[in-house]
Amino acid sequence: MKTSFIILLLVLSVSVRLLAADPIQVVSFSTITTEIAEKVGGKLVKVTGVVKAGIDPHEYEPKPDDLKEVGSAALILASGKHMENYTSKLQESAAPNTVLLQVGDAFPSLTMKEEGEAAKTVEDPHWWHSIANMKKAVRVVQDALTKISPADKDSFAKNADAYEAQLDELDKWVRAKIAELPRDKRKLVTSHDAFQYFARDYGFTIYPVQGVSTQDAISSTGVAELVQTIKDQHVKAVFFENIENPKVLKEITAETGAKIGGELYADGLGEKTDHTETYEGMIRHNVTTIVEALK
Amino acid sequence: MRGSPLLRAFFIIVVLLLMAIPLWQLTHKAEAVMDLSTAPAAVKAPVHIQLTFAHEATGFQVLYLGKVIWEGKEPGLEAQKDFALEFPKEGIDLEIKVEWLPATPETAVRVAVTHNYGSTEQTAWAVKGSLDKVLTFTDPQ
Repeated sequence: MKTSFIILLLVLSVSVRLLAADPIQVVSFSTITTEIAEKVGGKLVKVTGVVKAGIDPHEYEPKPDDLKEVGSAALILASGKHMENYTSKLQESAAPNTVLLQVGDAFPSLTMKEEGEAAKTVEDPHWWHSIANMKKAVRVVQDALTKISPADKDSFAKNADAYEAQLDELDKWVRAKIAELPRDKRKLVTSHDAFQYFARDYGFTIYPVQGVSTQDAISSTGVAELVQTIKDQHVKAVFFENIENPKVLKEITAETGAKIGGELYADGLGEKTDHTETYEGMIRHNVTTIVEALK
Repeated sequence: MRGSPLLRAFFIIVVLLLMAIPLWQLTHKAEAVMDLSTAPAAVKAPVHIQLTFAHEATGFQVLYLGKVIWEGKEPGLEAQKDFALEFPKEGIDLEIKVEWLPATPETAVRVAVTHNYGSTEQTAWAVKGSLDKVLTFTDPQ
């Protein structure tokens, strides 16, 4: 009897250890939420980033293999604010207890009028260009992981605190770098309208060629107005994006005399080649490119 | 048709070459070059900056457009200086760096900017005896 009890205890102990060793399966549909999950979850999570660097999230559609990954996940992360128009497919493919978290939906949106449709307003889904939003997103992911694995609450909290401290330092650096640029020169001409949160936090005015989505049509009237604005406002540089065709911007520079200021990362993280594969790297790249071109 | 075929070909080539010049000018728009001389010239205006420290600081720096425009050591509880700075209607950013002795309790600095006969002020709090913060001042008028 005593021997059986000891064996039972040993079996239970080993089972608990094995269960504890299994990381939480997270599937992420944004390069930004992939980084947050990795930072907050640490070794306790296994994150599969489906939407990778260089993929346009506005146009992405999940493939059958992606939906298979979703089926085995405990947590599905999307950036939200209508960026992913396929969330119903993810919900259908997920197991009953899987949590689908549209991270950006947890905090307020900036909205803007959609071109051509006077009464319609759309949410700007590019919330991560505000470091303050990023800090909120970290806590949203921390809460979700804690609900899935309450025993790891302290680890998630410690990781989230460390990441938040890193984001605070980054925000301090951004503010000091942008302070090098006179406030009357903070005018950003970009391929599509992805930097509204950045503009709000750091005092810029945005003049985009397209609307909030890269799929929005480019109107000739809009381009003509933009050319006039660049001339009137004496904007020194315009910026293209890593996954966009810079042809229209090149035409605008030819019309206005403004220069191409460089490449910005609007829809997610970049590649290791230019150190934009991390959130911090992406923000440092964008801010340096903007400030140096507009000075 | 009379005349040498070579001569006729020569005349046709000359006519085509003469037509090419206006055609090229019509179809190739000259690349615009931004005339920066038309941009409104930046005007410097008198700006008075006053720093008031809650505790005696060991040193401070004030940066404008990324450059140190004022620094001092052991300034006591107050320091003030006049500058000539560009002050657009969108306002200016000043980066304020202050150091206090490590044993200094929770402390702060008040920054007052006077421009166009009006004044605005902001208070920034230190963390562990140190402060590095960008403050924005809009035209007080």
